[in-house]
Amino acid sequence: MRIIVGFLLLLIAGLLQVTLMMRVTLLQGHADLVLIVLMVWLLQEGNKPDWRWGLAAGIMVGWASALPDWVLWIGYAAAAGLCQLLHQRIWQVTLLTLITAALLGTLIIHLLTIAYLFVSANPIGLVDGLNFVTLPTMLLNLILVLPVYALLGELTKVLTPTEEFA
Amino acid sequence: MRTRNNPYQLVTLVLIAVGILLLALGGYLTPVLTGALSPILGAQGWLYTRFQALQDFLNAPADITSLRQENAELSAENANLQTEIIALRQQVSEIELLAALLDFARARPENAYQAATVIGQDPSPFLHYVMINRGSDDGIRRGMPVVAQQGLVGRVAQVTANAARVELITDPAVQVSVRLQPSDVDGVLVGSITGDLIIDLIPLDATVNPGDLVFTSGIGGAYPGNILIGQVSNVSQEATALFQTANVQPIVDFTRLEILLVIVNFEPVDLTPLITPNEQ
Repeated sequence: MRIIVGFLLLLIAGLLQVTLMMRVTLLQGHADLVLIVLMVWLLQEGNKPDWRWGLAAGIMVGWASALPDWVLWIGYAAAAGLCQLLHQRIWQVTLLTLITAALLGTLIIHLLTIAYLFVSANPIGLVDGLNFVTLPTMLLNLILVLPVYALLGELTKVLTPTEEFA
Repeated sequence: MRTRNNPYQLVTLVLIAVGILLLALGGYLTPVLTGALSPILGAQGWLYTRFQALQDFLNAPADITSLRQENAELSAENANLQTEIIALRQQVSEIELLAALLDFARARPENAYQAATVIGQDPSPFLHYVMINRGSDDGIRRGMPVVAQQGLVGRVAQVTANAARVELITDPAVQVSVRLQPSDVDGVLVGSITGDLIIDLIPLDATVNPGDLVFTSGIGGAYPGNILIGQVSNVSQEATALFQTANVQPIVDFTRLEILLVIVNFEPVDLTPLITPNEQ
């Protein structure tokens, strides 16, 4: 059940990403809804983070992006791997952990993209890339984490109702 | 007991009455009358409004059901009309856009066009691409130029059966050969990560002024010539540089792309075989 819901969430996030979220810009940065949904979902209580979730998200985003697929596969899988690592090391995931994970995940994917563009025939300035794209995207993702966290938290409660003892 | 009529008393009363009448007709009693009538009129108004309120209150239960029903009907009708207005405005906007695109196509009868709707943007903020809802099944091929009603947008980079990816001229990887008018100077337009357009390789001895129009030159065979791109906003010339550069204000608003035209009868020239491996 959780796997089906997870895939559906990623699919919805992917569709919203290419249609709606690209219009929400800050300088040249866009909020990465797929990444946020992926990380928040993986770090929900009861879920087992796995880098393969990131691979699935990377395949989905890679279909819509002009970047080579492997860049996004590695980027999103690394972000999911970060969630896996955090889940193993931290006994309870707080909102602060989620925010940190989202920021690090954004940084991983963007640095990988900049590195690919640097070695391809289309280099962009690292400083420009960080200033105009990465930092605004991190800020937008930071803002986006909160509603997504609240929404997916409620969804998790609905999916896994727990018994409350008086 | 019989009272005796005093004739003087009667005359006095008549005189007083006539005097008062004359004073009233002369307007001398107006302040007095106003002062005297004011509280009476106030009391009358107060009584009337209270009575009216009481009458409304007593009659309200009989009318309130029909009023509520009428109010609900009017609210529903209002909502329907508002929805209709929004839909009509959207249709007008689309018709205006299509009319502008038709004007653009009519102005260049030598080209064949395929209209396409933008259905998404590239999820990576580092790349400036949009997706359109026409693909190889509609005759779209890689390299075909894409225009909006104002001017050049980009060219088709990748094609599937039912969709295509368009590389915008604002993408950092894009280079377009351009010609400035009226100065008649050639240069190369390059995109940037910020979306700014810059013309490079302008000879130092060329005179370029802000306000010059930027058209495609057709050199290189990647784009057809004489498609408007924008206007020069400022020119910079460094002392040690070999060329001048100019910033361009694009005529197309790349943040609001909706319907585009793909020029389907343009065959881009592939220069790859002519480029030596060292130059690649």
